[in-house]
Amino acid sequence: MANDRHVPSRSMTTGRMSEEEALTATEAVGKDPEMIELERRHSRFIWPATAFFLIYYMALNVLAGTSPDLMGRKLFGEFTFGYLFALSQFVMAFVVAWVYSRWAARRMDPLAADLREKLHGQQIKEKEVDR
Amino acid sequence: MSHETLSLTLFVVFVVITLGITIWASRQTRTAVDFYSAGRRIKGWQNGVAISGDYMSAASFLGIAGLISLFGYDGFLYSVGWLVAYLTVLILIAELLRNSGKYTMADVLAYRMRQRPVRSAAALSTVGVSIVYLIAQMVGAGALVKLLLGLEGDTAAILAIAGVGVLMIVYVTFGGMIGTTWVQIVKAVLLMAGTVLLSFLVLTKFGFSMNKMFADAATASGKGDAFLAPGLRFTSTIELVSLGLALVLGTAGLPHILIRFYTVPTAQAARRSVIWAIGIIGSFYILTTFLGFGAAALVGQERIKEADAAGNMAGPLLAQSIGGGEGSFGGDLFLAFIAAVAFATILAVVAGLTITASSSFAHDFYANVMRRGQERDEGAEVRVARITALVIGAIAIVLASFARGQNVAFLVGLAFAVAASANLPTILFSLYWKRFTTSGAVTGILVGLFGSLLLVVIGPNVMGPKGLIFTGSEPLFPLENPGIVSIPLGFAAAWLGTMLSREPASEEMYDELRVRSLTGLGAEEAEVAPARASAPATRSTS
Repeated sequence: MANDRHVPSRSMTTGRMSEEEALTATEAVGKDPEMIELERRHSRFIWPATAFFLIYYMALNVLAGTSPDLMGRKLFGEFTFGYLFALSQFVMAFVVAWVYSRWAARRMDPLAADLREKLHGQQIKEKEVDR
Repeated sequence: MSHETLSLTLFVVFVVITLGITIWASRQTRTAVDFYSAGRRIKGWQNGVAISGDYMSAASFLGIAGLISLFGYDGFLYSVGWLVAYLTVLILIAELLRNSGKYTMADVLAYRMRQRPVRSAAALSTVGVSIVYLIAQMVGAGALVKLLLGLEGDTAAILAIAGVGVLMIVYVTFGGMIGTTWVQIVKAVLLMAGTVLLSFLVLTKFGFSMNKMFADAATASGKGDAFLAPGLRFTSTIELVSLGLALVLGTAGLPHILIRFYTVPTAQAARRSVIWAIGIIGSFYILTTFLGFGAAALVGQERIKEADAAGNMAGPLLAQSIGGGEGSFGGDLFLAFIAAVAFATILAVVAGLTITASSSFAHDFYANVMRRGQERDEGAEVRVARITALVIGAIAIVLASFARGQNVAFLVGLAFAVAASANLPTILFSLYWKRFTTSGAVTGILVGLFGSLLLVVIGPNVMGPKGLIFTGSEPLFPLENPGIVSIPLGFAAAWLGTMLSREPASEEMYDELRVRSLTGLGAEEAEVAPARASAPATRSTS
């Protein structure tokens, strides 16, 4: 990987950002259009996705408690609605995980990499000016 | 050869292999980053396999099979919850945590807070959650040895618990995170192989008809169709919702899972590792259908309860029955194999838990609280971590000797409730809430931790007729799993602690954390590999 990258001096124990990095980082929030866009995309995806899988999952628990008869109804042979609904949770998890990773790779990664380069570049420039 | 000798042989083979890995790993471990985070050189897919090995514990392999064999459908609900939980980890936590932290969960919690109070609280809850989880694993080990050696007394179980304890101390103190990771990878492969084989053989017994398996299990259980529907274990909706919340939110608060994300070089690799883990863990939990219903149909509840009242021995007994039954060579061989897999499972998980608890004590409490973050010599920190591993091992051996006789899936379910109540609210607020302060973080952790533990103690499993204390009176708290009360309590305490404190939140630090967690700017980088670093299989001889 990028071994030639500037290695920031940081606190030995806590691993916080170096001062220069922290400065450019705090300046970017709320001002840098790319950072604003990154935050917007992120929260627009993660909160609805979380709400979706939590509701879908809790529905299984609620139905198991309130409607054991419905859950015990046999749909195919000995396969009950409850068992098939439980299996569908696995399918749901696989699909959500796949959708998330595709979304993150396409919509988040390039923007994040861009921003990292840009903020990092600024920081090096400032250092040069210092000298 | 008797099955005792067979199991012992297979088990010794696994121990020798893992000790070989440990020796190899100890040579690779030069710096603190190596010890705590495997030098951040683990590949995404490798970490995914290791997470699976870290996560699929005695609770999954022994506990769920047991619960399904005794209660049918209700046991399978554990399988579902424990998988869906990974979506919380994937979407909300994994990548941001990888970018923000260094070695421990507290690194993220304390990022923009005053270090000493937040790290003290986080170290306390890390060690607390890990020890509850450890006890569950060691209880499983004890039950396993009793079954294998056919011993009635408790001495065998206690000896097994002590043996597991000693091994995990060796793995962690010498192998560090590199050793722990590879032990977990080997174990995950073994466990999946054992489970796929067992499931396949179960299916052959029913002519590859799941219908026949379900029907036979329902008949053998004596409960009929009720065995295939909810209601035999859980009758109250609130209890189900409470357990469900603890399972689905708990994983994201388990320190031993979270610190695995520091072992990979980037946030993308962290994401890849969760995807791999979801694939492997999901497949495994679907297969628990065959273990549980298979055991109910082929072994029968009477024999399962006779071996272990809580059902923990259903899987190994199923293997024995499929191999040809008690006393046959096939039965002995397969029982020995599955028992050895279960042992491997337990060992890998306890190693992960031990390194988590000892890292947190050394890095959070020793270096940042006691030494006020002044420590320049990370070598001293690692020495403290190694000593702590020894102490934690000893504590777990003693506590586990007292907790024998509980279902391990149930015990682990409690650890999830504690993790979801004490850790998750603080992690989420740290990453996503600008206003969050030190007081909020400390109150959230402490109220969540002690609140959930208290509710367990005054709940039906400890107090009242079914419990251990005050068996004459009713429990003060009606639910077995405290999640539905303690998780909102943790969130509320973190929120209230923030709103009531006069200290202003550090907005600059929050902005810094936002950029760092979302873009990876300033994130910890992978160490350059030492010249001889390679997979354990190609160990250098020099």
